[in-house]
Amino acid sequence: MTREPPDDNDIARLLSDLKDKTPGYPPELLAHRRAAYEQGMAGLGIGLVAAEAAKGGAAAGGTATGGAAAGGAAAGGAAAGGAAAGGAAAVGAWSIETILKVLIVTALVVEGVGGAVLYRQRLLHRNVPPPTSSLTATLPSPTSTPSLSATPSVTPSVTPSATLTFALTPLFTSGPGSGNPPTDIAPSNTPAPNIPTRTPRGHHFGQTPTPPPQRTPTEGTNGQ
Amino acid sequence: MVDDAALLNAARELDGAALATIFDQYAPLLYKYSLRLCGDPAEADDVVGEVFAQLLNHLSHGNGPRDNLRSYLYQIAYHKVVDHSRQRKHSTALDETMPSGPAEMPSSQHEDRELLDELEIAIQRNLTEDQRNILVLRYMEGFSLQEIAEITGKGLNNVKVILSRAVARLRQVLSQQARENP
Repeated sequence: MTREPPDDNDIARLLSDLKDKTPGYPPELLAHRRAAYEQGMAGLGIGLVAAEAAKGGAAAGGTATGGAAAGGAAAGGAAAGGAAAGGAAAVGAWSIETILKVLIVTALVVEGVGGAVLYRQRLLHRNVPPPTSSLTATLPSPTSTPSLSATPSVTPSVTPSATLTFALTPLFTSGPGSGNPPTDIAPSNTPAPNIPTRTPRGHHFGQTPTPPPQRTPTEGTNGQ
Repeated sequence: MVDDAALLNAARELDGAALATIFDQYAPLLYKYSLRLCGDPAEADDVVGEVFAQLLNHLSHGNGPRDNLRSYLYQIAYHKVVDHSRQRKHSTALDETMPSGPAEMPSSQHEDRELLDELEIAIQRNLTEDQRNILVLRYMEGFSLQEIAEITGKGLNNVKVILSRAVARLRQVLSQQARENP
């Protein structure tokens, strides 16, 4: 007997069959996991006890087959229970959330005020001058103070007296044939420095002054 | 089974009964899904716990699923399984943890049972992690291709390609075994 190689449809069918072959959740693992899940819900303030009670009430209503009225009443009770559970859960969540918020805000305010007070006290201690009592306590008594009467008195007794005498004697005498320099040059006739006077024409120091413009007789008449 | 939309609306308002119903309804399914992928019951149980812890966390912060609760839960489970598989180097073979025996199958389907055993081994040994995940989501969990794309975060065409390659690979392996063991 030979086995046919499977095609795509066979594989899809086998995979679907394989789905049923997978074992289910072990009850003990499932119960443990559900308990952990309920703890997580309780941590969020979600009341599962009331919800479970409502669920039990709904189940009882579902199994009550005594009559339509009884079933309806049970269903109504379950709905009311569900609403109550939802309300209780909401109130529980609100109260825990509000309490946590109030605690956090209070802690922040107390911390801020405390820090401000401490900082203010430190600033006050820093600005106040040091107490004088400690200094006066260390000062010696006036009776033991040594009397010092030294008065500085400086009297200058040296008077400067300097007399400067200048005697100019001519080194040469003017006269013909004496071989001396000509007498037309007086010692006082030193040539004046070549410092050009500032002219209104804007020449700078050291530059050759330009000759003043010479007007011809015809200039300035504008050709008339 | 309770309607998902009504259940989700109640859960978004942190209704305890709705949250308990969600757990009772989806915990066994998520456990099976995780077990098919990881092959370890303890690890599958951990994945279920992490999925519902994240659901509570999201809902308490006003987040969580908007419309498709089932896809949302499987999406979390998928990422948890991927994280777990990255953490462990050597995966436990699925056939070691799954009890299998003739009592589960009628005697008339003996040949199919052999094929199922071979298929299990082929899925675990011859497919990549992506191929295995998408194959399980498609043929065992019954998700559409679009839902698989949303769950895995891959593009629709990419999901189609991965799925067709997975099926082709399984067909190749099973055909080879059929030739070797006629």
